[in-house]
Amino acid sequence: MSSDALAAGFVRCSSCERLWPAAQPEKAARCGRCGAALAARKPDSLRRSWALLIAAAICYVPANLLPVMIVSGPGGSEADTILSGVVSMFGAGWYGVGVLIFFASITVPVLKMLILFALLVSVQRRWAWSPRDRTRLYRIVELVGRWSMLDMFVVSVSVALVQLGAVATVEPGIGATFFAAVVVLTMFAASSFDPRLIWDATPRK
Amino acid sequence: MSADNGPGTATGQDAGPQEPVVKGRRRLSAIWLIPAVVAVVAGTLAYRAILDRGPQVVVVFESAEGLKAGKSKVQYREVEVGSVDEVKVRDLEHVEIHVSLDPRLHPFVTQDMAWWVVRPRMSGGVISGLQTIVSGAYLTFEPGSKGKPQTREFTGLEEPPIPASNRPGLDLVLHTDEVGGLQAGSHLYFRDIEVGDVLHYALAQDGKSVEVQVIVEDAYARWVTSHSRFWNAGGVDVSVGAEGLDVKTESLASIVGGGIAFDSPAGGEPAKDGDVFWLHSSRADVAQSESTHGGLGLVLETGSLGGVSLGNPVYYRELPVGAVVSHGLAKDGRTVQVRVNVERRYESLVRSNTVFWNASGISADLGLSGLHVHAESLKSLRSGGVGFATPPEPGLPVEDGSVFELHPEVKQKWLEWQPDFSAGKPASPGEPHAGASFFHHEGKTEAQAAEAAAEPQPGAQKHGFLRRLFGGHDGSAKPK
Repeated sequence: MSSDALAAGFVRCSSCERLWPAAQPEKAARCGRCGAALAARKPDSLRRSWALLIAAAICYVPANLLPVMIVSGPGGSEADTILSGVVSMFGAGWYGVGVLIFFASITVPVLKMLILFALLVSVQRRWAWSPRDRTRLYRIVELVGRWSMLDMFVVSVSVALVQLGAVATVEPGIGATFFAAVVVLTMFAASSFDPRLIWDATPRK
Repeated sequence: MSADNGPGTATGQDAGPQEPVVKGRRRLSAIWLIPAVVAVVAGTLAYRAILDRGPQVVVVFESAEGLKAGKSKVQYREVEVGSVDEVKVRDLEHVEIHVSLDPRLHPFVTQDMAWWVVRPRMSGGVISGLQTIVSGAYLTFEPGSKGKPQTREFTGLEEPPIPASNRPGLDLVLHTDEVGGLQAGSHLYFRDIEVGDVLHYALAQDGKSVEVQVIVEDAYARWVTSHSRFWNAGGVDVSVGAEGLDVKTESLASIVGGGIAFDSPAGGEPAKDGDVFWLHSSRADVAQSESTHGGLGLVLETGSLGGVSLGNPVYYRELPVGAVVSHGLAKDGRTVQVRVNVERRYESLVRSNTVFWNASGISADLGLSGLHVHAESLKSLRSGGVGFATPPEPGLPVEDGSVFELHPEVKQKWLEWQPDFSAGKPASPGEPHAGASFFHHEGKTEAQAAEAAAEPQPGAQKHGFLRRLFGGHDGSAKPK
């Protein structure tokens, strides 16, 4: 019963860690010490996560279909989508880079979205299945989130570096915008998600 | 026990009748704006992508040399208007190039659209498509005419088409012996001004000449007349003559890219589309061919050739009025036959009683009055020639192919003859229009374009008008 703060009748200030009695936390309570908004759980967590996740999923379609990088050289210009970029990396024999880009640009976002989806569904459906593992999954999502920006770094660095006029120019494609949106949206979705909700739905021991 | 009755949870479903629910609803609408906006943006993009899809065209070539799927472009007047999506083999002899075009081209993708590949080419000594060495080959086309049936599959041209047909201007056909550095795109010059282009050239049907299609811009078309004479102005024309070294070129561009020049002596009807002209191999050849072709053909018989050679001028009063066309042994082998051509306008100078002599070299005779050294002209001294004179009572006009004796040397009295040709048939021979013809180089043209192939003549006779000028002075001075 007293295994978590809320159940014990407390709300923890997210900023200064001060414990407050969970009397009327919803009513715009503020921490008496530091002034931060008090909430027992992240406000509106599921809804925000869902909205952001769906937005990310929508963005993911054009992010993969549209070119992220347009390389113009003497031999004409070539527009690469994420996947075609990976394929050409492999074609050029750069397996390491290819694997890295594939991991960062395809695996990570998909993984992130799937895990978030699963977590949201599980919390909403109040599944009691292994809250510990689900929490671990959530940590993976948070941890891995920043890595999916790798492709964006590749694009932005290339764009900045390769400006040789007629010889070679790299321009970002519209797909890069969508891909960046996917990454940002999933990161927000992940941070909107309150992992404590996983435990709230579980019978406490 | 569970989160739903915990006051801190905000999980939509368990929103009770408490105040926070309302708050939650408001937030709900705000946060769902994000996916809504994203959906709208992505949807618009997709819609536009579908809408912007221009005509998808398949062009069939024998080879896709230089074309790469996804990389090669379609350009029209050097502007990118489409791209090559796919390159694949159709059968063992053809490849298909799948192309997507700008949607605005839609009305022009009709049956008579012509496709070809622009790649570095070297034809007729001209390199074209040089920019594609670096940029890679690209596809280009001549738009089809609006209103014709649409089609999506084309057979590409292996060679760029002749940019003829729809270009405004006067279309002419020039026949010539050899292309001599000309190529499609070589310019046409009139008084050193660019007035047109060579569209293309091809071997004539009989294989005996080359047909060069040229176009003269409308603005200059009126300067082409039936009297116009065309010559190949490519390269540099260097001639060393008695007058000194003469270097002549139309323009720097014509040195490299070849060119055709023409002039139009006074008179003549304006040329019409499709008119045929002879293209002379050089400016000198224009004058040359006028003296060797189309005039009065005569046969001179002599015991030995004595320095007369092809292209040597035929002089009348030291004025070149014709040229030696050929020479050879007579059939019986007893004499040498020299064929000469006297320009049409001078033909009345030749009469049945005319005498011809070999004017090559110096003739000297020692007499009581002293030593007479005689040379027809400096030029004949160098290269030989034939002179002739007609007695004071001219005989009848002669016909083509008449035979005369060629005397080995001139007699003084021949040079003193002053015949009166006014009795003869054609009215004013000699140089009635010396002033006018000076500016028109050779007076009226006899060498009409379609005339027989000009044999390339050595010792090209350049600046005939100059010599005529000098010759005229000498001639008037001599008989005193």
